[in-house]
This record gives sequence, structure tokens and C-alpha cells, in this order.
Amino acid sequence: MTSLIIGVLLVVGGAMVGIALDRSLLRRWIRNRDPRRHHPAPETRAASSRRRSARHAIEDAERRVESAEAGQLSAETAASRVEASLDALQAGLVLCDRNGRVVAQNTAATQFLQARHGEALVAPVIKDLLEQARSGELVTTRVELHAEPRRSYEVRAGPVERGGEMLGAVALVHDITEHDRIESVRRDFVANVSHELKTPIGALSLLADSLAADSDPEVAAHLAGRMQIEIQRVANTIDDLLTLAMLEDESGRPGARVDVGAVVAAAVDRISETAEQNDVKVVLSNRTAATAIRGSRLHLESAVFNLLDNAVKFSESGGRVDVVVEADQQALTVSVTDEGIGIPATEQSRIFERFYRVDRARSRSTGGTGLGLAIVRHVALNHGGDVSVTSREGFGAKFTVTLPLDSGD
Amino acid sequence: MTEQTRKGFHAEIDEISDLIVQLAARASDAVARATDALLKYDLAEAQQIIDDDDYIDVAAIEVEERCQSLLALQQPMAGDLRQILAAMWITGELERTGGLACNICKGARRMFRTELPPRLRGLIAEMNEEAIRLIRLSVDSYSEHDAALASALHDIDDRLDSLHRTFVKTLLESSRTHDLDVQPSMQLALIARYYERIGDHAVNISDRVRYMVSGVMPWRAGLARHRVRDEPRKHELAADSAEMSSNGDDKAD
Repeated sequence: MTSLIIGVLLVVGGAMVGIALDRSLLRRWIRNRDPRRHHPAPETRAASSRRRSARHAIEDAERRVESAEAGQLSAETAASRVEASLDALQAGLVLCDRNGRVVAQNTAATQFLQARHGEALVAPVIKDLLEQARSGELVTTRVELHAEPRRSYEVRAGPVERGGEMLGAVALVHDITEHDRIESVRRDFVANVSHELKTPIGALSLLADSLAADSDPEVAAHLAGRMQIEIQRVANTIDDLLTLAMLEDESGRPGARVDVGAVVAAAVDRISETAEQNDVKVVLSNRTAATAIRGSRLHLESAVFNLLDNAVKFSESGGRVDVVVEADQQALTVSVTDEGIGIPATEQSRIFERFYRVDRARSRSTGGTGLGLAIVRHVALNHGGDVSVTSREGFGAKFTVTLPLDSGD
Repeated sequence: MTEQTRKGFHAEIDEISDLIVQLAARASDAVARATDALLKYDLAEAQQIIDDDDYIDVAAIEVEERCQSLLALQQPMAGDLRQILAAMWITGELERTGGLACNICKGARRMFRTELPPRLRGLIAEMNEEAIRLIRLSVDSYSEHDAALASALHDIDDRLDSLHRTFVKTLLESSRTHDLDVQPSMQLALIARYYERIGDHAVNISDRVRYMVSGVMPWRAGLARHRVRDEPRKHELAADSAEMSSNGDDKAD
């Protein structure tokens, strides 16, 4: 107990001594710091000017740092702007230096260089062409991808030079699938239209020659009959062409109210005779009550009839064609499904083109004009809708016309 | 081994993996082209595909050689080793896939001027799509080191197998109704088999991927079954031969 008291006294005493010492030290220090007691030596002119120039140097340096930072900032902005605009390009762009090392590529190019399936074939082509371009050549190659989805690419590469000095090479990759498709549509259209119009004319001319040369009435009657068939063919083609021209003219014009259910029923009625002759059963099921839209009754009926005509024509005997009218909140759909020969997947995107034929030899014997599906598509488009097909060759086809319902009622 | 060479080693493995992806793209493109040539009766294209198969072979050899030199120079272990082994095996499967595309082309040549019934054409197009889908899935599992997807490929392949069966059934019907001759019928049966084999190669790739990821060798399931089935019998035989004579040859192995 006593030792504790002594201890406490010692500690308290020690602290007091410490504080006293501390205060004297503090006071001395404050005295020294007092500016009134401070007597600096008078400044020489040389020292003052030295100090001024040092200050200038520092300011100058600071200014320079600032401007350098600003410069770097603007360079960074410029670079990121260039980068962003390159990324916005649909074409892939790859830049390599003179040693062939890739130094820049945009987003589209990265997709090619990291692609995994079909597009993986583009990457080695880019590398090859860059290699050739580095030796100063301007080179172009096409890359065709055959697995679905089919695509075509064009890769171009050229040297990058400035003032005669070779800096590297640049490669550009363009997706030319759509361009190719449009090109082939245009090319085939010219070929097909001349084929469709010239074939019956050629036949007529031959038949007329034979008729003039032969006086046998039996042969003449036969030849005349054949001539009538060919004339009918030309007349059909011209009729369909006129219908198409009219459809193009009338696009976007609202019509009267049409009951699509009744239109489909009428078309089924019209085809029934041909269907019976070919031993094909046409089954109509109307699954909706609200089938009224605004449009042209005549055109809608001709569109549905065209689909039915195809379905019956390409069905084998004993086959069945299903016609279904359905509706949801937005649209009315009319689908025609057959069990016929179907359409190859590669042709499905092209069958709605004018005069396009999957198999020319076969379709001539079935007697179409090659314009039926083009008419169907035009009618659907004119009514704000569309037509689509799903098919597997040999397992039938299903054509679906979608027509939006009137939003007003 | 220094950090630098290790870095080079992994960069090399990545490059090999890119090459395999390109090889697979080439092989599946060849299959799609072969199908086009077959369905469009295009003999010139068929010949072109057979010629172009050399590119696949060259690419496959390049992958193999790079794998070999990695094995020899770097002596990789564990996951790295499995990755290189898997790359070598997968390359072999892809090279065979390209070979089968050539076989389809040769089949197309042998039955030239045979009009194919629409149903068979549709089924061929479908088998083509399914085979390419399998190759793509197997490449996905390889690139992503996705063992779960790789295991699923066995089941996904069932669809191609069933298409193959449907094709053979339809072929038998067609040879009656469409007057298909024996030669084209046989070629068609073989061609269907080639598509089915392409699917099998994709499944093999997925097996190698499972090995690469986990170290399990799924293809040894057959060996395990063989052991379970044959080991007891072997013991019996061994016991029998021991009973009959003490110095008889053990030919049961």
C-alpha cells in the first residue's frame, strides 16, 4: 500500500518537473521565432536577382508542364476520336507496321481476328494479304463461307507509305453478302425475263413455220392447239406483269373493308376443281371470327389463290393442303401448308423474286409464270404485312401471309 | 525455366488453339461445300473441294509439328501437357472430317446424273446442318474449356444418328418408288454414313476436350467395360489352364 502511494507521488512529481522543463524550452523557442527579434543580413542585389530568375524558371517550367499536359490531353482526345470513328466503321480495319506486327485494329476487325466458326477463316486471309501488301502490292481477295449463315467477304490490303518511306500495311474487310445478293437478283432478273418472254415466242414461231409448211388438216389442228397453249402462256405472263405493275402503283392506298375469311373461302372454292383433278385434298379451317381488314379484295384473293395454286401444283397425288386463318391481337395470318416437294433452304430467300424459279425444267411443265410469289409478296406488303416460308425439301412447305388488323376498330 | 520462355510457351499454346479453330472452320466449310456440290450436281466444285483438302492436311500437319516441338523442347506437365495432347488428337479428328467431305464429293461423282428424290435431298441438307452444328459445338467446348458442353455432345449427336436412320429408311422406300439403281443407292447410303461419321468425330473432339479440362479419359469407358466383362472370364480360363497343365500357353490374353 505504501509503495503504491510512493509510486503515485513519484509519477506525479516527475510529470510536474517534465511540464516545467517543457515550458521553459517552449518559451525559448518562441523567443527565437519572433520576427521582431530576427535581424536578417541585408540582401545583396545579386542574390535577389538570382532568386527572381529562379522564380521565373519555376513558373516557366510549370507553364510548360501544363501545356504539355494539355497537349497530351488533346492528343489523347484526338486518338480516342479516331479510334471511336474507326470502331464505328462496319468494315474491319487492321494496321500493321513494317515488320508485320499488328499495331491497330477496330472493333469489327477484332471480331474477325477472334472469330470461332466460319469467320475464323477470314483471319488468316487478312494476315496473308498484309504480308503481300508490305512488299508494296495492292491486293484483293474474296472469302466465301459456305456453312449457314452463308456470307461473303472482300479483303483488301495495301501498303502505307509517307514520303516514299514504307510505314506498314493496312487491310480492310467488307461484308459483301448483301451486295452480292442484290447483284445476282439484278443479273438473274434480266436473264429470266428474257427467258420467260422469248421461250413461248420462239415456240410460236416454230409452230407457225410448221403450220405454213404442212397442209394436212389433222396436223394443222394439232399445231394450232399447241399454238393456243403457247399464246395462253404469254397472255398469263403479261397479265401477271400488269398485276404486279398495278400493285406497285397502288402501294400504301387504304381500301375498303374486306372479310379475309370470305376471301380465303372463295379462293379455296376456285382451286377445288384443279385440286380434285390432281387428287389433292384442300382443307380450310378458319380459327377466328375477326377477319376484316382494310384492303383490296381482288388482290387478296389473287394472293391466296396463287399460294393455293402452288401448293396443289407441287403436291403429289393423294396429298393434302391445309389452309388456316388465324388472328391474334395485332395481325391476321393466313397459312397454306402442303406436303409436296418443298423448297431447298438455299433457295428460300429468293423465291419471292420476279421470274425466279427453283427448277426451270420442272416449272415449265407445271405452267406457272414465275410471278405468282412476287405478286403474293407485293399484296402482303401493300396491306402492311409480309409473307414468309418455312420448308424442308421433300417434306412440304408452309407459306404464311401476315396482315396487320386495323388499329382503328 | 525462365519467366520469358514460359510466356513464349503459353503464347505458342494460344496460337495452336487459334490454328485448331481455323482448321475446324475449314473442315466445316468443306462439309458445307461438299453438300452443295452433291445437291447441285456440281462436279467441278466437287473436284475443287478434293483439291482444297490439301490445305486442311497442311494445316493439320503444322499443328502436329508445333505440338511435337513443344513437347520435345518444353516438356510440359499436367494441364499444359493435356492441352498439347488434346490439340494433337483434335487435329486428327478434324483432318478426318475434311477427308469425309472429300468422300462425299467422290460419292457425288460416282452417282452423277442421278436425279435425287426431294425427300432424300431434304434429309441430306438436314444431316449437313446437324453435322456442322456438332463441329461448331465441339469447337465451342474446346475454345471455352467447357467440359459440361463437351459431355452434352454425346446426347446432341443422337439427332444426327436418328436422321441417319430416317435417311436409310427413306432410301429403301425411294429405291422402290423412284427407281433408284443399286449404284446410286449404295453411294447415298455411304454418303449418309459419312455425315454420321462427321458427327462422331465431333463427339470424339468433345471427349478430348473433357480430357484436356479434367484429365478424365471418357474414351476409356469401353476399356473399363471390357475389364468388367472379361476379367472374370480370364480368371476362369487361367484357373482352367492351370488345372489342365502346369506349362500350357496362356493364350487367353
